[in-house]
Amino acid sequence: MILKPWERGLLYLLVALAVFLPLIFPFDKWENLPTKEVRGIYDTIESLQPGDTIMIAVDFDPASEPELYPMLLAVLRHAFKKDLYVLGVNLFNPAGIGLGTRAFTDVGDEYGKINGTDYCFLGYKPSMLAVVQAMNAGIANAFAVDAYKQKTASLPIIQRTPKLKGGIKYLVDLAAGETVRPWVAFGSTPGGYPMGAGVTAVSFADYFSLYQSNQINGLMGGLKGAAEYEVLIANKGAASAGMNSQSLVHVLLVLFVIAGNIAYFVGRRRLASKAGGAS
Amino acid sequence: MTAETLGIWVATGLTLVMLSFLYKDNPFFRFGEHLYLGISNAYGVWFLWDLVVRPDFIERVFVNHQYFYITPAVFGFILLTRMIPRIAWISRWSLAFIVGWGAGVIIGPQLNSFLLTQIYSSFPWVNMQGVIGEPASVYIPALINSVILFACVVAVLVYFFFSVEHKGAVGAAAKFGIWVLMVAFGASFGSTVMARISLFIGRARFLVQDAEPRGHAFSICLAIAIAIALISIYLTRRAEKKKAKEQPAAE
Amino acid sequence: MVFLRKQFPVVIAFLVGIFTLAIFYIPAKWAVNSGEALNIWVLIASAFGMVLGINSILGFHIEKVSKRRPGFGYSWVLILSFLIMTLAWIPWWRAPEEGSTALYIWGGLENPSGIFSWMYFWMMVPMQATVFSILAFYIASAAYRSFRAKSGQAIVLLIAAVIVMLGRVPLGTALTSWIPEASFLHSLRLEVMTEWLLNVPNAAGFRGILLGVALGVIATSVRIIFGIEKTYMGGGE
Repeated sequence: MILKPWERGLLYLLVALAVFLPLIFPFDKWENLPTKEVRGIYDTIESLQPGDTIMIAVDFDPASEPELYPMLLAVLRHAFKKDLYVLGVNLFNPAGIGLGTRAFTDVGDEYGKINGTDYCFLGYKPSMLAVVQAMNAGIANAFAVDAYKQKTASLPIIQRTPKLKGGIKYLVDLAAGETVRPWVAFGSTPGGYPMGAGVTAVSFADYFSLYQSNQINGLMGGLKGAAEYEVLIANKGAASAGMNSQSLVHVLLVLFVIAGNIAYFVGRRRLASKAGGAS
Repeated sequence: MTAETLGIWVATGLTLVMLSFLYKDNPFFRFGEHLYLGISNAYGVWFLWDLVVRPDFIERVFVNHQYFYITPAVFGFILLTRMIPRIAWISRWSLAFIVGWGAGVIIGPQLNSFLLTQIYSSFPWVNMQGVIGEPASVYIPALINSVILFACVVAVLVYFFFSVEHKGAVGAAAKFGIWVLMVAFGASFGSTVMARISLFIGRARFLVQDAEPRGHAFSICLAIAIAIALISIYLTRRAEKKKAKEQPAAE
Repeated sequence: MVFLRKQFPVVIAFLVGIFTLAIFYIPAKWAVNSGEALNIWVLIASAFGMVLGINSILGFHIEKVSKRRPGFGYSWVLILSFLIMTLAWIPWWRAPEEGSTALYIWGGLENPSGIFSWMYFWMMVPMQATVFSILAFYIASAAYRSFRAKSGQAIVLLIAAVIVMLGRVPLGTALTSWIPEASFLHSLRLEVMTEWLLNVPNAAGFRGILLGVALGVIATSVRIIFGIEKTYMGGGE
C-alpha cells in the first residue's frame, strides 16, 4: 500500500504534534508505575548502608543521551542521598566522558559531595575486557589518572576502595552497546559483586534473558525505566517530562495500526464487490 | 556571542536540515549528509590514533621500549598492501591473523556465558529455586511461568532445528515455536518503537528547551526559512517540468 | 608461491585461533598476559584498516571533484569538513600548563575548549541523533501502511506489539487502572500483561534465537580456524 503525499504528511504532522505539544505545554497527569525489574536496582541500592561503595559504568555516548542520561542522574541522586561512595567509569566511547563528568559534578554539587573523596569518575579506556579484569585486581593499575586528571592512587576514595573485587557492593551498567555481557562475564561473576543494567529500549527485550537467569538483578529500559526510577526516588526530571510525549505517540501509533487495518479491509471489500459486480 | 551560543544555533540549524529529509531528498539534506560524513570520518581517525595507536603502539615501542609491539604494526602495514593490486594478496596474512584471533576469542565466552548459562536457567527446577518456601499465591504462578518458559524455549529451538522434518509431534512443536516467536517479535517491536520515539523526543526537547532559552525565536525563524526555501525549490522545479512538457508540444 | 598465497594465511588463522581458544581455558598467568598482549596486537593491526577506509571514501570524492561530476559541490563539503576536523585535533603547539586560563583550541575530545570538541558536540552529535530520530516517523508510517492482520500469526504479533506499546507508557496503564489490584482480573491490567509478555514468551523466544546464534557463531569460528571457511580472504588468485 503506497501512501499518498498528503497521507504521509498528515501522519508525520500528527507524530510531530504529539511529541512537541507536551514539551511546550507540560502537564503531570499519568503515573509511571515502577515495574519489578526497575525495583530490583532501586531495592538493592536502598538496602546498602552509608559508607558502602558502588560503581556506575557510564557506557554510553551522546547518541543515547535522551534515554540513559536521566537514568544516570536518577541513580546518582539515589546513591548520594544514601551517602554512598560512587565510582564511575566509561568503557564504551570517549565521547561519553563529557556526559559522565557533567553528571557526577552536577549531582555531586547538589548533595554537597566532594570530587575525589565522595566520588570519582575514572574516565575512558579502550580494551574493555582487559580493563575490567585489571580493575577487579586494582583500580589504580588500570587508571593512573581520572577524568579530571587527578592521580587516582592519591584520592581518598580509591584508597578506601583500591579494587572492585571485595571493594564495591553493587555495579550499575548504563549501556548503549554490548557492554553488559562483558561486565557480567569478566566483572561481576569473577569479582563477586551483584550488578544491574540500564539499557536503551531497543536492547531492553534482549537483556530480559540475562535478568531472567539472575545474571543481572535489575533492568531499566529506555526513557520509561528512567521515569520509573525517578518516581521511586520521588524526584521527577527529564525522563518523566518526556514520557507524556511518549504516551501520546504510542497511543497514536496504536490508532494508526487500527486505522490502517480498517482502511485495508474496507478497500479489499470494495475491490471484491467491484470484481463481483463486473463478473 | 560565545562559542556555546554559536554552537546551539549551528546544532539547531543542522537538526532542522536533517529533519528536512522527511519531505524528500533536498539540497539542504545532501549538504548535511556530506558534512556529517566528513566530520565522522575525521572523528574516527582521531579515535583510532589517540586511543589505540598512540598509547598502545607509539608509547609502548618508542617510550617504554617494548619492541615486542612492533609486530602488530608490521601486520598493519601488510594490511595496507590491499591498496596495491599487484601485491594485494599479501594482505591476506593480516586478515587471517585478525579473523583467526576473532574466531578463537569468541568461542570461550559464547560457550560459557551465553550457551551454557542460558540453557541452565531455562530449566524450571533452576528458576524455582528462588521461590522455594514461598506461599502458594507466589509459588504456583512462578511454577506455571517456569514451565511455560521452558516449553517456549524448547519449541523455538525445535522450530530452528531443520535436520529433522517438521512432521507429527516435531511439526506441532515447531508450529508452537512460531507462535512464541511472533509474540517475541511483537514485544520487541513495541520496545523498538519506544527507543526510536525517545530519540526524537530528545531532539524535540533540544529544539524546544535548549535551542533558544529566550523565546524559540531562532528555531522558529530558521524552520520557516528552510520551509520557504524547500517550497520555492519545489515550485521552481514544477514550473520547469511544465515548461519542458509544453515546449515539445509547441514544436 | 601458491603456498604463500593460499595455504599460509589458513595456517596463520589456525595457529592464532587455536592459541586464543586454548588460553581462555588455561588459568595460568602467562596465558592471561599473552591473551591481553594479543588483544592489543589485534587492535593496533586493525587500526591500520582505517587507512583503507579513508583512502576509499576520500579517493572517490576527490575523483568526483577533479572530474567535475554532478554533485561535486557536496564532495567539496565532505573533503573540507574532513580536513578542518582532522587539522583541529593535531596539537600544533604545546598545550598550556594545567590550571592556566589561556585559550588552547587544538587537540581531541580531551580538550573541551578546542575546535574538535566544539565540532563534535555541536555538529556531529546533533546530526547523528537527528538521523536516527527520523526513524520515529518511518515507524509511524510503517504502523499505518504495513501492519496487516492477514493471518493468525500476524494478529498475535500485532496484539503483542499493541499490549507492550500501551503497557510501557503511563497513559496506557491509566486505561486499565480501574481494575482493582486484589481482584482476579488483576492480570488483565496492561502493565501486568506487558510484564508477563516480556518476562515469559519474549524472553523464551529471544533465548531460543540467542542459543541458535551462539551455536552458529561457534560453528563458524571452528570452520574459520580449521580453514573450511576462507571467504574472509577475499576472492582472486
